[in-house]
Amino acid sequence: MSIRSRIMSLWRNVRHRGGVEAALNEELDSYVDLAAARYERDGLSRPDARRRALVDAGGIEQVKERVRDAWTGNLVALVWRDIRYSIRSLRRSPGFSIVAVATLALGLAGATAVFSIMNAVLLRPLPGITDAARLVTLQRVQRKATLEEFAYPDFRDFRAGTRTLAGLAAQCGWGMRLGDTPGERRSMIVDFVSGEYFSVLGVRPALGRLLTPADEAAGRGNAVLVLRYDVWRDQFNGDSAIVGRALRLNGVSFTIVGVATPGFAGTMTAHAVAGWAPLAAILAAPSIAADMLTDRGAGWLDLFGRLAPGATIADAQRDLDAIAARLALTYSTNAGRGVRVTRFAGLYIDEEHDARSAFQLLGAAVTLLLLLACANVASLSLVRAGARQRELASRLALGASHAALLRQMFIEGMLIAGAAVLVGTAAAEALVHARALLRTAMSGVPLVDAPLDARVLMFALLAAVTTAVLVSMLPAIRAGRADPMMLLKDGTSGSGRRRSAAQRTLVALQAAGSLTLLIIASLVFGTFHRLVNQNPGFDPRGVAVAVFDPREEGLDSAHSRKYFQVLLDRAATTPGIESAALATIVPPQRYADRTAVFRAEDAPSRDVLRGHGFDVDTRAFVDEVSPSFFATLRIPILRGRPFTGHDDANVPPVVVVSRSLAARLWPNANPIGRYLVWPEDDRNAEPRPPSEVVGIAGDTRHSVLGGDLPLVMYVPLDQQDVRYADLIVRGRTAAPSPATMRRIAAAADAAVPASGLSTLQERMVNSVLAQRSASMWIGALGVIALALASIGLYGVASQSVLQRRRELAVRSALGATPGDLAALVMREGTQLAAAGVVGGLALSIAGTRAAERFVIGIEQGNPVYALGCAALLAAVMLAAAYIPARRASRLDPVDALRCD
Amino acid sequence: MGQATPLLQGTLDLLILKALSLEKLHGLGVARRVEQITKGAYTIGPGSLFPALHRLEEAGWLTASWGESENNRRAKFYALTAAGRRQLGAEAAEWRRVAGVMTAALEAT
Repeated sequence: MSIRSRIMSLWRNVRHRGGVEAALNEELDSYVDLAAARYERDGLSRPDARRRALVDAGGIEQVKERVRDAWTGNLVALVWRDIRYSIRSLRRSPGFSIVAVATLALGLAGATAVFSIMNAVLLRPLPGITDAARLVTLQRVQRKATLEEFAYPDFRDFRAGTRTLAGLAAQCGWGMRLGDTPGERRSMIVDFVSGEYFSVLGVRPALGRLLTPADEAAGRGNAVLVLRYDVWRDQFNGDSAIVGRALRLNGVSFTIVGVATPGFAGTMTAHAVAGWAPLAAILAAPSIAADMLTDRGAGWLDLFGRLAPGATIADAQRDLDAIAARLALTYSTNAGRGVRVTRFAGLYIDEEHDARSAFQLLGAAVTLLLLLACANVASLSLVRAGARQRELASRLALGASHAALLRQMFIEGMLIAGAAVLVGTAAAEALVHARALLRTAMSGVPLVDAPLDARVLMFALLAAVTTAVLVSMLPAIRAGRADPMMLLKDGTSGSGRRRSAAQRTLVALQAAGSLTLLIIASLVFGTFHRLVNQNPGFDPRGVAVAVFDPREEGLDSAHSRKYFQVLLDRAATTPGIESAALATIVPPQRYADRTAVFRAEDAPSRDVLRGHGFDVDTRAFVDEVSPSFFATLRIPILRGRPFTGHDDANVPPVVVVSRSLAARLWPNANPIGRYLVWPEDDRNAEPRPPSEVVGIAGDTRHSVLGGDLPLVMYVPLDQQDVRYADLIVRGRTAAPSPATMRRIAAAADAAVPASGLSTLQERMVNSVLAQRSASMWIGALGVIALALASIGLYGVASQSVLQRRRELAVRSALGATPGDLAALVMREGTQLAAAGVVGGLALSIAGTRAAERFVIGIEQGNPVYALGCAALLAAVMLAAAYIPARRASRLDPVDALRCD
Repeated sequence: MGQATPLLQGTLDLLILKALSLEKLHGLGVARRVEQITKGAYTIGPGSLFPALHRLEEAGWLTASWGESENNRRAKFYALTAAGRRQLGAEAAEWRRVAGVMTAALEAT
């Protein structure tokens, strides 16, 4: 048969249905006429002949129906007819339609928003990279802990030895100061990369050339730079003559050799990089040790590679394991150090971990909410199906097949879901694009651009179809079972009991799901609230901070020291200031480096320790502080003394330890007067003499959200070679304003700018902003779930009153009081609420485990939350059942018996 | 539909194609022609006839046009297309082959 002819028929049947139908009518009319004419010729009267012909035909409508079935695309036409019918039917009950669409849109918006962010963070390939699926990330494993960074000599050995990787590349991002104007802080992040970086990623240049292996060693003197496309376009006006021009970064001249392909922004989703320079050029950064490229003990490079054709991740793992084992035997720094090969992710490990756990919790929550929304709409449709029984019965009696009713039900569900997905996707788009919300919605999830791409739209579509199936399944199955005789006879179907059983199950499930969400929400919320309000160990009120980095402005070590003294004097003598201090780490600070600390008598030799600092259990923040630090932040000195102005470079080194550090190092002894050591950052520096512990300070919380108290070791600023510091200023009445802070900075040295101006309380709030909003989100989801559950119960209770009108009327006529009737209806609601509470409590136990991964220290064992939520849910559900119960009690028996 | 012998699956299409192989006919004409060429063994009611005609038309084997019937009634006439004629040949050959095989099988001892 001819495809062309089929397609033309399809077009005609669907598009010109009216004409096709008219032609069929005429054809059959003419058939009957011709047949009648034949009978007339045989001698029958005209009316008799016509009657005979019609009887022979056996029902013209049936013939038409069979011809229609033979038509190509008949199903399409039928569906189209059903769609129009459904739209009319939905428009007739706008209350139901609006509630159903809004409910589902709510669920779909949440699910789509979470998915689109997840897609952007975890699933979407990074732009500009060729065949990202074949890329792998290498992670350094040491004593079971996974660390990302590798040493440069190790990288070279892996690169030379691997057979399973077609290429291996290394990178390290670093903020570089742009230009030479003192007092003006402009910086750009540069990824310092090995020679294969661009070829492994398969990135092409937009202009000039990219970096090659020949560039890897280019440092001071012949440093080169490749710009990111948008940086070139926006900051360099897309100047096509840029190639060959020089750019000064940290005082070193970099020659621009090219611009990368549009869209390419490095390998880390969340970190915008401005350009790429050869690895060796990182030595231009001021704080990089001169032997960075030869030190096997250093860890600073992120490694990724491209699998060789045919090789798998497991092959690469075996291959690199062998190389790591060889290195571990050869070099003492590498003992116990391994490597792990994973799929290329575009995120740092802790980011990926945070993102995954956030998505698990929020994803589960929005999925549950979507299911709750489906259950709600399904039970509303059941209620509506009850009201539509006569309509369905008439359609069945008029010859519609059960399949046709089923199809129509499904199409109705699809229409509701379709409208919901439109509203929901628009809402999700709005949510995702409200960047502040996005930032805060996901704890620990880096801020990324999350476009609604094909994958997200596919997800929304799939969710909508699933929703449509879930929503229309129950009413459709019921419609399929309907018996027209029963329905028409008394308006209540024989399966009414079955329907209400389905409805009741739905409501109980909804209640259970809502309670689960509520409990988790309250746990997250409550735990968060408790953690935020706990005593942080210092007093953040009335304190402002600013960061100063004089070395960036070209001051040497001695001048920096002098600068900080002046800065502190200026701050302390400013009117309205109670006290001022300097510190390199100011709480709350989550991401400061930790250093291995030992009792002087236990300290291993420096060579043994090289490369193994991470293996040591006792690792502390080293906070270099001025003497006034403890008083300014109001951190109590529990024993011994704080620092004084005499603790400078001319006297033996002293330290103050936090209470937790004291307890760790000397669990059973008084630490005052004992000595401790920690290795110097710079391997070539003179070994530091052991430091005497002169005081114990109270613990401070650096991370507001749970976790262990950090171990902190305070060292006098004057005994250290300090590069940068935070100025901490406590005002007499309130935190000093940014203008005051800038005045202080200008009075000290106008060439050194103050950056990161804020109050300590702002810092506290910002450090938990993400978690705060995540807990708000979950709280909001819990409240929505509660509302859905009560709507569901209200629907069922109302329906039940409607169905039992006659029974209730009879009872009332026989002497039941209004109170009896209300109690009868309430009993059902109570049973459902009870079933929901039991199910919800059980479900929430599993749910809390997931939440625990998200919020450390969640109060899992605390029954107050669970029981409180259960009580709340029960109360709300009973209130929802009370309205129909009251209606039942006011029923007029005469009216109820008469109607129908 | 009410015929003396139930039609074998597929035979209806073949009979309609055959009925139209000489001239174009309207629906009733096709039914009458089939009755004639099967010597009254098959009477095709409109419930089978029209779905089949429409199906064959959509397959491109028949082409339809409106014309005047013998007593001046407007009627839809069907005619074989070239593809329909090829289809008739193919189906007739297939039918003979099956019939031959079946006859031989039933006469075997």
